[in-house]
Amino acid sequence: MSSAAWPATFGQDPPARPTGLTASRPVAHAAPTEEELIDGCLQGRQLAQKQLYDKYAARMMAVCLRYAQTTFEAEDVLQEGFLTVFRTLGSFRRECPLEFWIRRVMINAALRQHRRNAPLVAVSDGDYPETLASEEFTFSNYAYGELLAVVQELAPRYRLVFNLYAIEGYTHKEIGELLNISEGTSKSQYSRARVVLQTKLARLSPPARPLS
Amino acid sequence: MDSQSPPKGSLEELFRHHLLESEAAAVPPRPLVWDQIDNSLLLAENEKYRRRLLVHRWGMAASLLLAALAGGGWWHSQQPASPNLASATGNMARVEMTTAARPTQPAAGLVGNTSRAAQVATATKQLVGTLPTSDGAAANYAATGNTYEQAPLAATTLGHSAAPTLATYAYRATMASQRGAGAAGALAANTFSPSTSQPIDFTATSSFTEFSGTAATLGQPMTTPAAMASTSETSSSMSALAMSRQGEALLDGKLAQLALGPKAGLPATLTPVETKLPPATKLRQWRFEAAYAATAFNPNVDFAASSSLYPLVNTTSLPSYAGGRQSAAAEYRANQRGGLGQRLSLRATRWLGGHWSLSTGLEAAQQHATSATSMGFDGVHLDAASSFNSNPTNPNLSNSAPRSLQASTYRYRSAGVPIELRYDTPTKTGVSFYGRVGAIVSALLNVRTEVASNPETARSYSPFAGSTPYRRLTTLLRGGAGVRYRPANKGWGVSVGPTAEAGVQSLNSDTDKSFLQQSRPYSFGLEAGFEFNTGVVPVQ
Repeated sequence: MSSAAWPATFGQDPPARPTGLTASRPVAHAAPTEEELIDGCLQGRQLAQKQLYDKYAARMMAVCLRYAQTTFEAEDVLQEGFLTVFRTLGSFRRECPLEFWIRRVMINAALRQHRRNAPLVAVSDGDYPETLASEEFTFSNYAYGELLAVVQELAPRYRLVFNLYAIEGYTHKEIGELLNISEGTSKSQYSRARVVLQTKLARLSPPARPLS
Repeated sequence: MDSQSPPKGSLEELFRHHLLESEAAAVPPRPLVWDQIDNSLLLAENEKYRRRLLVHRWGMAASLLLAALAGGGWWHSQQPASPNLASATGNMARVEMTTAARPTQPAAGLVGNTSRAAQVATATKQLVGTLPTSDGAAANYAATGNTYEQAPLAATTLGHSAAPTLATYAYRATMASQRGAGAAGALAANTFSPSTSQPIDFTATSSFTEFSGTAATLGQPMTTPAAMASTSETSSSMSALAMSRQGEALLDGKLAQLALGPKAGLPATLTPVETKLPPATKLRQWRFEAAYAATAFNPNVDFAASSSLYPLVNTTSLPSYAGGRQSAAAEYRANQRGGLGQRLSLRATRWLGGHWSLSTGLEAAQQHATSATSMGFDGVHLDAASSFNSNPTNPNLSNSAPRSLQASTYRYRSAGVPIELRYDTPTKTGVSFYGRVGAIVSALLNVRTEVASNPETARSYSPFAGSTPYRRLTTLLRGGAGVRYRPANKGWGVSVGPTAEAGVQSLNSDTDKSFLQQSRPYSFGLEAGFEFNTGVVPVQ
């Protein structure tokens, strides 16, 4: 994945994110730095693990939600991803922001989840046109929840390809290697996902919805 | 961008804008997620400590085995050599080693006396008669330039006794003659000392004493091999030559007496003594053993991070709900307990030489293990969701109430071919020690699983006939040590001792873990065996 495609906001803490689970647990007086968190986790300290989880859980949950079909499935991916993070944190070379590395771990966990579930899920394209002309969308006409729901309704393979290409910035070649498909297949599936999304967005009636 | 017009963009920009921008304010997951992560981390930590403990146990077991082997070896080295062992296993290797350790050039002047020493050897050989091995040793002694001064020392060092007849001659000659005359007698006695089997210790002692006196008379005190070596290295060739000539003269006189032998008539001071040599024996090349082992067996199966079938269920995999599978595997592993392992072995052992033997054969084993699960079982699916009380992938299972633990039992039957290297003293009678290490290629023949509260789920199947989460063929490493008892003049023996076994790979076949990280089955226990066709047989 090209680093230029990576948003500049990664690696920065949200300004007013709710502390959530930290309320019931003892927390260090001063917020530990990323390096301290990593070192603490490598030493197996539970507090450091909890702090690391609290710091990135919400943001990674948003990532997992995009790749999963349901919230429960997203939590499964999140759980497996964080377990992988804690088990393999020693291999993190600290050459990139920790959040970037955790995000990749989560995406890999989602891919593993997809491979496990792939034989169990019947894929149906539905009744959609072959192609649609490119359209310009007004951002304020759509809410986060609506867009997330539309993405989650995609067939698993389309959802993966769309997320990896449109959101994460992977190339079709990289996607092909990740999903063990050809580059052309990735392109065609992305094109199909795009048509499905565009159709579903068109079915939403903008005047009837409150602006986000 | 105009502030009056709302931002617009393509489909990709729309999704990227909303999905990425909203990440920072996304809703955190439920607290349950962290609890499960925390629990899994705790289990992983426990597993790490458990493995560390296992390594320590293995280290301790290996140390004990090593100490037992070392102790057994030391104990064996402290015991006097068995007559049978000396005659059957060819202790001449030890003779040669001792000989080789001697200085090969005790004195430059004595090297030329090889022919004289050979005459001594030949003469005494005729007296003793048919003892080819020892005669060869005596001849070698002379032929390699080890002069007669060394022979008593070598014989004394070897700790073997003299031939009764010659020993008696030597003893009586020593007692009858004065200092100086005893050298030849001592030589005669000690040169042939390894050839016999009846201990007459006083002969060697008195001969050695006598010889020492003679050597002192000759101007070369030699009380120990080291002293002999140092003296040999520092003596001058002239004094050595003079000494050798004196020795020759002394020997000539005594050889004349010895050359008479028992047949030609004994000197007045010697009287013949009737002796009877024991028959020569040799060790049996093959021996056989039937052994039974009772062990504490632990399958040490870890189905976590594995896509294998859950062992309880025939054709049903765990639900795709990953947390459910992980928890089911963790619960299975946490409740996993070892059971009794029994093994019956039939082994044939081939003696390789010295203390080493190689054995192989056939063995059958049966092991038990138990575990417990709270997963429900509806006949088709293993209800992993009942532990969480929620399952998005299968609504029919989502409202199941948490269940209590249900005990499950496992029985494994296997057959294998062991190959073991064994260290023991096959010719030794009485109590001795043994140690052995080896590998076993084992085939899992039958598995039986049963849930205590649900007999309908009990099933017994052959892994070779269908799908199985277990390896059909496994390789195990085994070690053991113990004591062995063989009564004298009997062809059988019994042995008992601890044994330990560990798999080279995990018992479950489909594991995502690397080779080094796999959880391997292991067992500790006791093994008792009955040997037959062991010991020595007379040489025809």
